[in-house]
Amino acid sequence: MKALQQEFLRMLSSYQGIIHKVNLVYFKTAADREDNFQEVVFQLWKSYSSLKNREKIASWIYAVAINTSISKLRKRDTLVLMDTMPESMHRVEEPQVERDMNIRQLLEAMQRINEIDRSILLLYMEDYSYKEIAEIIGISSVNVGVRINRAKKELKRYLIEE
Amino acid sequence: MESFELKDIWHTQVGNLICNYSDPELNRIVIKQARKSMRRLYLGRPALVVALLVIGYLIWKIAMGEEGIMMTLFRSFLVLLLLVLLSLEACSAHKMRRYQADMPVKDWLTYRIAEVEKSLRFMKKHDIWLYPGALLLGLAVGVVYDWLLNTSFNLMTSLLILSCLILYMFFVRWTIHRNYSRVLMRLKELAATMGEGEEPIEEQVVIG
Repeated sequence: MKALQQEFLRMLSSYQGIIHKVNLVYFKTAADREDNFQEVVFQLWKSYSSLKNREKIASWIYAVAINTSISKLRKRDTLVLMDTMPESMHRVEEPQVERDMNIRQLLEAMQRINEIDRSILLLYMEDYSYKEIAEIIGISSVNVGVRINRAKKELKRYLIEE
Repeated sequence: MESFELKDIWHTQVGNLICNYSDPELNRIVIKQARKSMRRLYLGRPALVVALLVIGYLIWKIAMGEEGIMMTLFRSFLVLLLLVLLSLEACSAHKMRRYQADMPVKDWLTYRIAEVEKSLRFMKKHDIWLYPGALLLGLAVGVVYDWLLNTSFNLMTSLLILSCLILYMFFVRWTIHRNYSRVLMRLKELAATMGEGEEPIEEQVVIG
């Protein structure tokens, strides 16, 4: 058990960025993101010992993190619209504010689109191929392309509105 | 929005928003979640041992038959209650072990919808037994209360307790049912958006 725990910890240390990025697109506050991080770790730990394909760990983590986040959101009836900046934004130094305005706008716009499209867009921005995205989400590559197209049009519309 | 702008913004700026946990912090989280998984996924050994010892003691006392019929009935009721609680705990732990999130999102949605529908069907079929259960519990509490205080059986007290229990159970049942239905509706909404598209796909822009 101890060896498995150490192995899991090493894996988590290497790939925790994935969970943080999923949390960024799904949750507004630092408290919600921390809470969801713990829940995702719980789900990962539960299924780690039965994980067969250790080469596709990143895809596995994305699937668990996205499913856990959607489950949490749908239970809580969280508002999709983001009224305030994510709390971590307040730590940004003054000279960087203008450059960082784009990521803030992007996250705000992403919060307004459908949860599935949000996850597809995240994977797309993380440079996953249509085929890899299709495997994680469980839809066809054709559908992935259509949804990315649609999501980008929606994002553009929301960004122009701001 | 051009693909290269989107990815450029994301890659160059997302690092500013992410604060990775240190190894000791991650270790603390992993240990906490490993302990939580032991508590939620498996019956706690100390609690199980204590429960079995209490059940054994009660059965032994019933078998001795030293005290009156009321005490025997009361002990039998306690044994039944403990067995029911242990079974529910085991079922809950088994259900938690079965729940997995490590599958493609669409498959997970289908699985969750099926589970929530199953729970709703079960509740609709069996929740009605809560009311006779409340009736028996209300009467039992009234009888035991009067026996402990050595007063005569008070029907009004029992009926009052019973009414409060039934109202409370009705409210709890209604709330749980409403929450499950709401979750089911939202999961189905999300699943409905996963249908196949009809527009031609855009060529994937490969960034250098």
